[in-house]
Amino acid sequence: MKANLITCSLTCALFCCVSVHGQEFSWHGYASQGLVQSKNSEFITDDNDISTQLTEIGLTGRLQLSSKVAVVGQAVYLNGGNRFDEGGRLDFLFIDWDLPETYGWKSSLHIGRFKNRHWLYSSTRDVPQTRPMAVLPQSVYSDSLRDIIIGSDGIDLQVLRYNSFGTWEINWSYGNSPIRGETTRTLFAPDARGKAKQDFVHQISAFWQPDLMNWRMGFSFLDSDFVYEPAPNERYVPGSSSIQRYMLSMSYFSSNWEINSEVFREYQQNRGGFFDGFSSSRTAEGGYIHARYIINPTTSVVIGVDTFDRDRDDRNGRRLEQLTMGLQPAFSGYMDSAMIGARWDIAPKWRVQGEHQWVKGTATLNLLGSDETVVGTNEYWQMWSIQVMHWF
Amino acid sequence: MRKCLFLFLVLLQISGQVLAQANSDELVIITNGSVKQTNLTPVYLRHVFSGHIQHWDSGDKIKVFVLAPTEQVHQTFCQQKLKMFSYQLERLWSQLTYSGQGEPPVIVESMGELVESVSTTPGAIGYTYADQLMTNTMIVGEGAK
Repeated sequence: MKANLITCSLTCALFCCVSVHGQEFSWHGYASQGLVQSKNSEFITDDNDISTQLTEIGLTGRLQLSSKVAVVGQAVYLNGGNRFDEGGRLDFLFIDWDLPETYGWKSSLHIGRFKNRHWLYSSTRDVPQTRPMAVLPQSVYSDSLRDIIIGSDGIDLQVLRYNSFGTWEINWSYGNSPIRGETTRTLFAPDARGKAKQDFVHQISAFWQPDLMNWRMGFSFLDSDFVYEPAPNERYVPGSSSIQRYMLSMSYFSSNWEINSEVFREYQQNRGGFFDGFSSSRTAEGGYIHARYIINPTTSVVIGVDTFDRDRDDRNGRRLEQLTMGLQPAFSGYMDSAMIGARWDIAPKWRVQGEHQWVKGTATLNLLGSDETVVGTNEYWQMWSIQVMHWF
Repeated sequence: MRKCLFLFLVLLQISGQVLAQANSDELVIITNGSVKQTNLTPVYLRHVFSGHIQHWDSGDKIKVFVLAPTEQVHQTFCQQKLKMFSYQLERLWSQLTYSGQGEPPVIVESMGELVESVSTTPGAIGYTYADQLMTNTMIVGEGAK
């Protein structure tokens, strides 16, 4: 409620400025509606039926105060079924300040709530026409953690340099994200009544694209700490969690083919939470590769695979099953999927996009693997969607 | 000998016509006459069209005009002048636009409209065929005098 109030207030404030600086204000938006179904899984709905819970609406505004300074913001409404909380959000609202060029490096400083720009699709993960599919690879873009990884409140520096050797882009950010109650339960435990907080998230990424522009390669690093503060009379105790993620990315472009891939390794240490003295650690690994064949400028097809192992020392999940005395099945320790999709631009700024995914395992549905979504999901499950979108 | 000389002159004439045709078909990048900046390297121009550079050194806003991504001319322009594919350029525009960091180019319906828009909009940049210039436009980058 509080978050929605802030969203509305800031959006109204931004749009009120339009009347004052009408000539320097620009805005864009998008809307999409789809049909979706997950079978043998509660990933989308509880009843496995065909659903319309695939709605994304967004409005982006940019108020240019001078040639160097602008205020930009984006409000969105999302309905993704069980994938994340339905409702409005203020995804970003920050001051965009172009710093003076130094030794050929152009830089921009973003202060406020900024979007994560460190991964291939992170800055536009909710913008349907920028994605190759409706549901991004869950190994990297887990929907259950969408509100945490979408961006942060803090500071973000983007540095760009281009010369005959190619283009270099370096991003650095520091901040934290508010965590909703549902995400707390996803992060920690389904019956948690306390509050999870993100102490900080520190990220850096670098991308290089050669002069011929056929390739783009990147590296990113994330470091983040969380704490859990239990509610009064709750069975859980104070706890903390620390995560470090290293990721490599690669993109290849040709006249008919586009290939994108990201692979990562993630270290996680947990302390306390379940009881005093509790301690655990694990190393997750995952990644995806997608190949899109461009039939013509308006039509393309895409195929891809995605894989995630919750613990590289327990890839088949058997140890997880033993440790939890069978409460968590072995298949909640991994998730592998294959997908096929197609898209067709039916008119300028209108697109129809469809996909089908076959999935084995449930590991990324909930990174602790203990909520209702996992309980209601079989080892083998499927998902399909078809989406119509418009942008302006 | 005369026949050889005649044949040589005919070939020379034909090749000259072909070359002239090629020049008139050549795509060039044009700016509005108000743009005084001259140090426009191919890499710099690529970043102007991809939205990474949004203001001229003078501080004036850059207004980019292009044809629709489905137009063959636009695809040729992207590959010849920007060394990228039109879908890459579209992706960059979308990322900039919907992360709030810039404005996408204005898409016009014909080459005539594109040239006229550049001609009449201060700070504008676009492209056209070398023989379709208008007053108050000038060629920049490769092909500039």
